[in-house]
Parts: sequence; structure tokens; C-alpha cells
Amino acid sequence: MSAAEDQADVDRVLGGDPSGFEGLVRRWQRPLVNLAFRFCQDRGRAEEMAQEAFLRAYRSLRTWRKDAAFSTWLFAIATNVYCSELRRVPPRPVALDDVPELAKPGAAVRDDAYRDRIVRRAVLALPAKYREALMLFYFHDMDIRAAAQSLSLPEGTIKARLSRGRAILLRKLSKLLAQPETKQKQEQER
Amino acid sequence: MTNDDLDHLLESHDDIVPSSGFTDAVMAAVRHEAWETPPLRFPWERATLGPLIAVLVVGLSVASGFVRPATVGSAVPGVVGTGEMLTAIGDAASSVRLGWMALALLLTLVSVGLSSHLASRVERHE
Repeated sequence: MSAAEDQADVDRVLGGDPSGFEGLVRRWQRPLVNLAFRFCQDRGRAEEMAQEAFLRAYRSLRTWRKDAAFSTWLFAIATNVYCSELRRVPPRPVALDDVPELAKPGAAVRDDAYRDRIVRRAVLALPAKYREALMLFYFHDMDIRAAAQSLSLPEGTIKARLSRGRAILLRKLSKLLAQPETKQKQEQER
Repeated sequence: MTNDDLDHLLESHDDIVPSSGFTDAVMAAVRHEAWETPPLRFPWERATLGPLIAVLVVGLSVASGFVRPATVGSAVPGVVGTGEMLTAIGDAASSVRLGWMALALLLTLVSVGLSSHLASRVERHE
């Protein structure tokens, strides 16, 4: 249903009616803003980036070859916009080793929210190519093909980047996130 | 910590809802874009007309050197031999300064090619 609606809206816009684009914005704003939010962790900036992605899509609507789903094409444009924007102005100018929570491996993991914050900061601090592969992979529900299409890269490259990115994250996070289990074991031994 | 643990951590993510004015903001930008005067197109018709006329003039000038009034002793009236033809081409070329014209044409083509290449690069970056 959505694909047919996308097609109809695109045809309207290409036929000279810009208001046809509104249906596309309404249908895809949520995933696009959420993807942008994963990239920058800043709501205001996420909406700005998503708006730029929609505008870019509007300008190049004629280049959508209907052999791929409209969403695939739209996500590829959005990913391109987000990656360029984040490379231009990084979300947080920190290296992985500079994340305070990670610099102190003995720090306690207080709760899930705290742990999630550490994980997200660690992801943001990854080198761009690993960060982008990881974000797209998890955004597309761990679908390597969809992540590859969004980044316009071969699946093999995505797999390699995922593997390397995960290895870096595991190394940095393992001590911190294994702590509760260690505590539990110690309590069980008592 | 395993890859599965990491998958579990990275899978879970807050779902945010775009602000109420988001669609309107995007559509305002889209309408502005739609009403904006489209960027000037490169005038290929006019740009290619000049070089075409120049090529035509040079071609005619050179061709006029091939055919001369019938000369006494020539086997075919009005047509000259290969040696004479080459001499005639050389003469015609030097009389119309063909070298300079070719150079000017070449510079024009390079200039047009370079500017359209730069323009396309700017468009891609936008």
C-alpha cells in the first residue's frame, strides 16, 4: 500500500504539483528523523538533517529509478546527507578513549539508562566508517543488505566494517558492562 | 561480553517523534524550492553555433582549394592531382590562418568542457 502511495505521490510531484510531496514527508518523517537522531543524538539537529534529506530527495526525484523501493532510495539519500553533515560537524569532538566513563574501567554501571548512554557515546566516538555501518545495520533491524544499500557500499565491506566496529566496541565496553555479572558471581560464591 | 550482548544493547533505541511543525517546515522549504527560478541552463545551442560556423567556413575555404578552373594539360578538367591538392590545402590553410583558427577552436572547446565539468561538480556537492 505504501509503495503504491509513494509512487502516486512521486507522480504528482513530477506532474508539477509540489504538494504531492507532503504525503511522502508524512509517511517517512519518523524513520528519517529517527535515523538522523541515531547519527547525532540531538533532536533539533536531527530534524534539520532530516529536512535537508527531504529537500535533497525533492530536488532529485526524477532520478528515482523505480526498480528499487522508494524507501531504499530515500534512505540512501538521507544516509548520504547525514554522513556528510556529521563528517563536516562531528556530533561530539571526542575520541573513544576520551569518553570519561570509558576512561575509568572500574566505574560502576548504575542503571540501564546510564549503560545505554555509555554505549551510545562509545558508538558516536567510533571512527566514521565503523560508526555509519553499525548505525545503519541496527537501524535496519540487522539487515546487512539494507545497510549496504543505504550506504551505497558492497555487503562485504559492510560486514568487514561491522566486524571491526564491534571488535572496537567490545574491547572498550567489555570491562564496564561485565561488571554486574562479576558482582553476581561473587555474591553467588558467598 | 559477547556479540549477542552488543547486538541487544545496540538494537534497543529510543524512538523519537518529529515535532508537530516538522511537515509544515519541510513543505515550506519544498514550496520555496518549487517557486524559485530554476538555475540558468547552459546555452548549448548558442555555444555550439559559433564553432559550427567556424568549422563550416574553414571547410569551405579548404574545399575551395581542391577545385580550380580547368588548366591546360590536365587529364580531368577542373580536378587537380594529389601533389597539387596538398599544396592547395597548405596554401588555403595559410591564407585563412587555419592554425590560429584551430587553436582558437581548441581553446573554446577546452573552456566549455572545463566550465561544464566544474558546474557539474558544484551541483553534485550541493
